[in-house]
Amino acid sequence: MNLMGRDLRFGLRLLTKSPGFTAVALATLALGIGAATSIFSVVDAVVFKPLPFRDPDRVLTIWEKNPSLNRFRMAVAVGNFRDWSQQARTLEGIAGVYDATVNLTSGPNGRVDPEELKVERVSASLFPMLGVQPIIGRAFRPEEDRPGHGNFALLSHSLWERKFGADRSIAGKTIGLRGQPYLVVGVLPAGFAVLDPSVDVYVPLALNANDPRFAGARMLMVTARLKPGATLEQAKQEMEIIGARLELSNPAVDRGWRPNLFRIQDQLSGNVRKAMWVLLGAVSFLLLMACVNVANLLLARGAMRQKEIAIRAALGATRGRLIAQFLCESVLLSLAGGALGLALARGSVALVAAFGPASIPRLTQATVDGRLFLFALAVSALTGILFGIIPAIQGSRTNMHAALTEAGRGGTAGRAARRLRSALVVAEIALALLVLIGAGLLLRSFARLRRVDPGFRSEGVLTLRVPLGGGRNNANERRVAFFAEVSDRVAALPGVRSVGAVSALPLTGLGGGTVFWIDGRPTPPPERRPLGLTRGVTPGYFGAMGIPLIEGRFFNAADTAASQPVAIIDQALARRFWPQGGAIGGRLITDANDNVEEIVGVVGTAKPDKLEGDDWPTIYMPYSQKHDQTMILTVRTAGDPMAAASAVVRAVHAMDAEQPVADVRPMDHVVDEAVSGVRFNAVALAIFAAIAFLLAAIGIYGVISYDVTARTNEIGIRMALGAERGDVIMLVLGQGARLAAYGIAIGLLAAFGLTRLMQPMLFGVSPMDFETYAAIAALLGAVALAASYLPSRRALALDPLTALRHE
Amino acid sequence: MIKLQNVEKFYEGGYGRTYVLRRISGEIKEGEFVTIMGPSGAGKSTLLSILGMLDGAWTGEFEFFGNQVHRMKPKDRVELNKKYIGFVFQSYHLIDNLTVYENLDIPLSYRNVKSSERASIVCDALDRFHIVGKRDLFPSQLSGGQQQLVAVARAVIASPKLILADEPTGNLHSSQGKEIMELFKKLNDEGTTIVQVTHSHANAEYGHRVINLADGWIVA
Repeated sequence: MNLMGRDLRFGLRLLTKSPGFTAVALATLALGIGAATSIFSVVDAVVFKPLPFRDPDRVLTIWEKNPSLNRFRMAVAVGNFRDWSQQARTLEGIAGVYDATVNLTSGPNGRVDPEELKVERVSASLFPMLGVQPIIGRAFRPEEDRPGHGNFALLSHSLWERKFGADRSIAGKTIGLRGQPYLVVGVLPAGFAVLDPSVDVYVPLALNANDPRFAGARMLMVTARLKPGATLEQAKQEMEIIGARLELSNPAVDRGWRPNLFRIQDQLSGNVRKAMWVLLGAVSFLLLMACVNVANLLLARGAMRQKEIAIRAALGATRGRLIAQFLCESVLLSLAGGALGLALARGSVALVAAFGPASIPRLTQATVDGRLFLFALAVSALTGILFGIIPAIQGSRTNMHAALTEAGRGGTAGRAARRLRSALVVAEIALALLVLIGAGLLLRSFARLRRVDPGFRSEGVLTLRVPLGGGRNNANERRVAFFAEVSDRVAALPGVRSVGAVSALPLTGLGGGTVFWIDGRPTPPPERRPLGLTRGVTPGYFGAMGIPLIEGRFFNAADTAASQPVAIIDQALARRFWPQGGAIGGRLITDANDNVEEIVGVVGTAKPDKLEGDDWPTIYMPYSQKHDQTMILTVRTAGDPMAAASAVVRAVHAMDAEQPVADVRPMDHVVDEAVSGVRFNAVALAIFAAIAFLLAAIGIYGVISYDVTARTNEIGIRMALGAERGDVIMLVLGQGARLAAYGIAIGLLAAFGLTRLMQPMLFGVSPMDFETYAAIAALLGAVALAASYLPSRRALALDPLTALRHE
Repeated sequence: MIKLQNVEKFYEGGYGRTYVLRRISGEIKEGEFVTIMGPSGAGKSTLLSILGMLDGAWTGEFEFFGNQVHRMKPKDRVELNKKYIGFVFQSYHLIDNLTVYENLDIPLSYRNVKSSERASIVCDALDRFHIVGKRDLFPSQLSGGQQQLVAVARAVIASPKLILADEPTGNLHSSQGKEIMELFKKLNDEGTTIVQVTHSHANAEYGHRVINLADGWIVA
């Protein structure tokens, strides 16, 4: 212990006496360990962490697919959900889930601040099937999951804390949803979610599956559990047979449709899994680069301590003693670097969990996982230890006499060590190139994505959700007047240029839709009828959103509930069904109300879901003829839209003080959120690339710098023999250029093979994009030369006589 | 104490062997003060390194305190070195990041001397060599003569029976060199066997006899 204490003290002294080396080594370790632990933790939370259910790998989600319509994750028809529940033998506890929003209109003690809540209507079988117990009260009973008997509520943990003060006696109390009393039966555990973690309250599904109005409505998300002993393959086969049976018995609804089963974990993380693996790969490269850098630093320092090692050996130190001493020093460095890395990881993970995109599931649950930190620490520590004790092992084998008399002159052992260090730097440059190319491709993708025309002009537009459900303006006859008056009030505000409202904003999801066909053309069979999105809009909507009118007219005051039903279609629909033009005056028959709408206008296509997604044919109807209970006001302002926010909200509350207003945000934020997933990947990889860049530069500088020191004598001889400035610079730069060339060549070869894995993450950019490869290779080459230039300046500054005497 | 029989050292080169030492034979008795002299490249330092167990690549027979060194494993040679030998280098070879005290402590720690005993021995050495005031200084803070003094103190601190000194005054002023040689003389008078390599005839006069080397051979 005494010896270890002394070795630790000596190690600490050495580290403080060489602040440059220590700072670089610690920074390298901290960055490598910190970045690796952060991403390992995020990926673990998003992809690998088991869901808080009983046997989560046996829980499935079931969608419907129709390959001929290119639909693979369609919501399930209510009738099919009923039939599956009755017929499936490989599944148990099949539950339906339906997303909606609802206004909280009263609390257990009466009045409560009105708020729009996210609600999931769920089968009573859901919670027993998942094996989830409420922490207060109970789950739903089967008799509560019946039409007309479903006024019960299970609160999410976050809503219970936020809105009801974590009242432990909440079970048995009544709250008002949409103006109706709901009995609170319990509170769910923290962190519980089926697929959507933002759900506030659960109510019984209470659906009549036999009601023909709903039987064919594809509106449910279905979860189920594999029966004990059943496999996913068996369940898929059985459901395929059931789907075929239903197609025969109910072709109007089910022709071409089949169940599509997924494990719930895959459903959650499937979209982002590939991206997570790419990030994991990149950060693993980073950890490797950090290890390579540390290895190089330690080898270089070890080479400079050969004399000390020889002296210690000459004074009687055994190999074991020398190794123990160097081991202590390396462990000290690794632990210090690890501590810094842990701090960095904690901060990074907290930032990512707090500000990361909502499109990445379970991101908010990411925390620094101790196991993963220890793994990253172990990798780095092992590297530090291995390369830290190599000089001790080498030194104890060396002829001491030779080492003492030739210390500082390189020798055979010095050349071998230099080759090893050069090989490590070449590997590091190759890894850096890989990470940089990956980041470059993603950044170009992101840039291309941002240039995609979304079909509207978002700048200066304020949006706010106004859910009427449960309020005094919810009655059908009141809704139209309400939004008309709100629009007038808001339009009169200073700085407001135009006002409109829509049932679903662009880039926020597909929303409502309908099958349709063209009046006057052969009626397609039900299973071949095209799907289109439907939107209710007020007359000012297109102007407020900057969606251009291509043909015909906008809606106006003449389009009322009593007038001829009319529709405006987007260009996607017009081009598909009237490729030669002439859509104006055409007539659509929509399944939704069997009405015939006359097309009075064609507008530009607005992206409904993702910028990189497909265009969907969209049918706009005047709000006077399709009045959804929730509309989003769109207010085009002269300046900063948020500057008008409070005035707009006051205008709404001036009409009804109890009216909830939610999601007050600029349309620019909506657009940002739509690309947040891609941006997150691009930014994360860009950060790694910057770190990789730095590590590569440090690695190259370190090796070249050490080499100049080791070759001081040689450089002195060359200068004494007539070498000029240019010759010395070329000598040093040439070595840096050689290392860079080898590393870039190897990196490019590896990139050709590996970047194809990134294809799903890219938009408008090929994994083999020549411009990206060329730019990154040139950049890294320039960095290598720059990193070599500084030592070359030092070589130039040498006095030949001093250099000749150098040892 | 030391018996050498046909000790040779060579390097294999592109054109055959290059001999550094040729058929070195001789004896050194306990208590002697022997000087090895010869021109540069004669093999003096090499011979000293072999005697000090710092160089293991040689042929021939070497007996040291009755131990057949030529038959011993490197690990056993190190033990022999630790038990009997102290080495003084021309370039002092103090460890730059250790203080004077710590440089003196190092050989004792490698010989598994208890820390309490080590402290006492080091303090005695500091006192003996009149360098108590320098105990917390680093080698870079000392003059050449002081560094060599510390090196000599380090060489004798474990009470070796044999001191090997390679050009101990080579980097010193004449007055500092005289001080070191007087010290060696005193140690020899106290019973320590000393073998030194030197170019200086003045230093050679401190010894009992001279072994002359030339081109790897003993010539006298």
